[in-house]
Amino acid sequence: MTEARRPFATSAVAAPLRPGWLRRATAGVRRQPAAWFLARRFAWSLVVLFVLATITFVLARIVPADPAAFLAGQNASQAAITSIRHEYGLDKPLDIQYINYMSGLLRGNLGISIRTRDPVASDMASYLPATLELLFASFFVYVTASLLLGITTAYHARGPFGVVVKLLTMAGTALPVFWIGAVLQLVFFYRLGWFPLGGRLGELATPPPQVTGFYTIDSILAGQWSTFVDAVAHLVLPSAAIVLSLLAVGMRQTQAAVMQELGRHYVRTARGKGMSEPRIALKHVLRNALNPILTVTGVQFGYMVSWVILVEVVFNWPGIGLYAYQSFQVFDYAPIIAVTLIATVVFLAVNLLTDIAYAVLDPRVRRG
Amino acid sequence: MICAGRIDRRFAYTSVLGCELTPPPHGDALPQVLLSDRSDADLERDLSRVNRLETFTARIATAGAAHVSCEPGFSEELMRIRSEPGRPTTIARPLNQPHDNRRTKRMTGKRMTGLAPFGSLRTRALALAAGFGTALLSIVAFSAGAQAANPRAQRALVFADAGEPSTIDPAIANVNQEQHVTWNVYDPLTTYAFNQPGVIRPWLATGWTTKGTVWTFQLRKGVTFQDGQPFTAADVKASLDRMLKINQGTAYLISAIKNVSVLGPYTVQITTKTPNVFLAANLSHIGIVSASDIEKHAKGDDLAQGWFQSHADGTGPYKFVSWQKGNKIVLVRNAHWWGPFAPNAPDEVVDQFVPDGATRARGLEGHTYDFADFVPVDDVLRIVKKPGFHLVSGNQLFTWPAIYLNMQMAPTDNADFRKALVDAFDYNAETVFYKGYNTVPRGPLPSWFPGSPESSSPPITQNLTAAKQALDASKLGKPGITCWVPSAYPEFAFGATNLQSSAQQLGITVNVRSAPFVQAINAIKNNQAQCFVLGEAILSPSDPTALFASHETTGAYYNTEHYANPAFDQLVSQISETFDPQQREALVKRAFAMVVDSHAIIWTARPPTLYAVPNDITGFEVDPASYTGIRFWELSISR
Repeated sequence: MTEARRPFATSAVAAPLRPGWLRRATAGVRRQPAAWFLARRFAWSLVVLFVLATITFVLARIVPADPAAFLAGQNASQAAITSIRHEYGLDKPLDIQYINYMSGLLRGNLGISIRTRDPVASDMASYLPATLELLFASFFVYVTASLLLGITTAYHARGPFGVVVKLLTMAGTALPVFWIGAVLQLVFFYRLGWFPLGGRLGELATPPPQVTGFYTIDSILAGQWSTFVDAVAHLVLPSAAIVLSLLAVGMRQTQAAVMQELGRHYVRTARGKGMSEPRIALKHVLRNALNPILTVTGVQFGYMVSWVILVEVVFNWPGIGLYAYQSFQVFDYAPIIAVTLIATVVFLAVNLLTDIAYAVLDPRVRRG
Repeated sequence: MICAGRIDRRFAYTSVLGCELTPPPHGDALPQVLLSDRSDADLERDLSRVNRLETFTARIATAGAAHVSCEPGFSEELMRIRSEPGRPTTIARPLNQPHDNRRTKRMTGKRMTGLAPFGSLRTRALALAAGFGTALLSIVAFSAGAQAANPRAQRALVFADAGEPSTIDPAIANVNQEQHVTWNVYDPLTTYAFNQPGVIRPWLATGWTTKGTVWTFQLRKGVTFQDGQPFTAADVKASLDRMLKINQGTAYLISAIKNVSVLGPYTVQITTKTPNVFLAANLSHIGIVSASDIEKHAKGDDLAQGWFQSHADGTGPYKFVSWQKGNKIVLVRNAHWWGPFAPNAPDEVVDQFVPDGATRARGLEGHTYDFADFVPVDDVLRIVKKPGFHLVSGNQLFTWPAIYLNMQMAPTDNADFRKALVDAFDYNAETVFYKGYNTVPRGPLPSWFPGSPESSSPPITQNLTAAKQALDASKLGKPGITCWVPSAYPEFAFGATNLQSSAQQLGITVNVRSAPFVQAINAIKNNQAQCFVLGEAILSPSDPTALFASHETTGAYYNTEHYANPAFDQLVSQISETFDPQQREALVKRAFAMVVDSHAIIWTARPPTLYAVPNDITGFEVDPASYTGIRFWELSISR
């Protein structure tokens, strides 16, 4: 909770454990709590990434598999498969493969994908914008919907509106996200024909000139309004699947936090003074209830990154989720590790942003 | 009682100015409050006109509590100030009293808005939802409008492909999705008709002669690559040499080639290591690239693999236009192609990568895709019942799936034990699984394959009595076995489950393990299981040795039953070297029988390949010498 999360105030506790040279080297930064906090978080993030890369590497290779067999194709000869193993260094001892991989990683080289035969970094550059666009769109809708529904149902928890919303969102959480996606496709694509089946744009459409990699933004920048509408229409169903599968948690957390705040005296006073209820709810209650909501939202973003893999498969969304899915199927090691690392980076970044947001939103945290 | 107050916006706690703090007298009842939601300065300016302002302000600022009461007279003065014309004034009511709009109107001259706590929030939420809904409907309307205003190009074909190529280099491509591109962009020297795969026809080669190990091909004149370079014998030599040097993809089909010589601009000579009757047939899937492209785009000794991986320049019916990674490849019709397009052949082909089978089925059904491969059988049979679709079926698969019994591991190293499993297998269950679209195989080569002896071979059926006798003869008792199944195919899973339940009738336990293909095949290759499930199909229109060399000869990678029989290997070599058809068929029959008699493979089923095809697409036939090959130039779109 709020009191427990005082990110900028913890440095003093650990100080005596640090060696002298480290204390002296970091003395300047430590005088600025915010900078010191960020520096420590960054350093820990690197450690986490290193450990994770090692674990993922080991786990991926513990399972005996032969990715070269996939690449060689049906009826391929033993010679062809041996040649592919050699080409991708799969015939080298595991420790050499590990050293090669990690040294490449330190140089920013994520390796070569066996499946696509391209550098993983360039694959990521192709696939990541699609995933980020879907993630941000879903996150925006999720936050908006969970706040609105959470606040509204806090006022109507026992009314029919609250009950219906609760049931629907709980059902969304209880059902697998790929099933929700399939049902949305069945209803809104197949039955009603309102939204496209999948992909980022129509099958015959040409993407806008790449600036950000987000089709919605790039189409606006290029003035291609029909492409923009097409891109938004393609975003609707996959975003809806993600949001529906996560909404219950966010909404219920918001509802609980708001209900707790509604019982406080300042709300009663505000009402007593004649302040409008939307103003009380949005400007004051929500402000006080925001910290626990923020915590849950950060965690939910992590889930969202996981759900994206399944949703991208169902909606044929050409992002890193689909890329990861196809890589997992053939034990394409380098992309598997890279996707894991990127997901971790995103998760760490979101956690960091959440901590910073605490301080921005709550002066008590900011002032330690 | 009336008093004034405000909410501090920054810290979200209440401070009340101008009132004295007292504990609430009874319960939660609050006094009526006149609200100011204006700035501190505004409020204090107002309050400065009220008596005893300073005293009240000082007291309250230090307390910061919620319950307030005010001095008599204070409220009336503040009310007077608030009711001055032009001032935004709102009136609150006690929480335990219903709202009295008439009173508000009486006090302020207008109806109260924005103060009914629940109704107003709901109204705003509904308004916001309505806003979202309107935006969404607008998108729907625009989206639908855009589709209506911009209908699919007259002859564009959107093909839902089960995967994305890893390369479009014809020397390396060996997977369905790769060949969908390479076979339509690069021409081979020879070809075949789908209904007569045994008859090899001219394509880039107009004719050929053979004498022993030497083949001489006459090449078509006036053919150009898509970059305008003329096609000559040098391109054939460069292509075949490059393919043999890289030794990947379908190079195994031409592994018999010893060397290639250019005899003239349009004459090329190919020498094989030993006589090989199937060379012309096997060249039907070898795409010819431009020698100048190899030279121009080579980096070091890579033979231009880097360039050919994502670029294409063939002499074929379609030109490669673009490859949007993770999304699609676009081909357009090659206007300068020398060959015959079907009337109304697609002008543009969008090869859309759709890995999920259910999504391919939904997209085909909803007309997002014009064509789709690897649609689950149930979906195909359901879709073709709808108006606007028809069923196309054809021979393609040799066995789907075949169950390989590891001859190097106990207990499947025992021939009687293997025979028991072959005899116990419930072949009829497979036919039921395929909804009747199935033929029970009698061996490795289907009857429709040129020179296959299957029709004259004895049928393989479930025979539990024979199975029990074989199990007794094995003297192994009832040992269990483990079977690895590639997880992507439901047909394979069913085959393994069928084996499990069939073997159970003999008291044998089959432990089925499902894993990705690359893991499953690794397990069987490393003798970690007695059983492996995989399908069989080949790319040669008439070379049975392509199947034997892949699945049965000693040391072959897909010889997952670990069959090792030098006599069989010798026989397979003889088949390729025998030019007399009758003698060759006799050899094939012997090889066929040897594999059947080994009891190393359970050929569970041979379903035809089924496609649900929209009625506006005609001319599609199943290619018997492919995995899921499609000749786009033979399709006609009538819309």
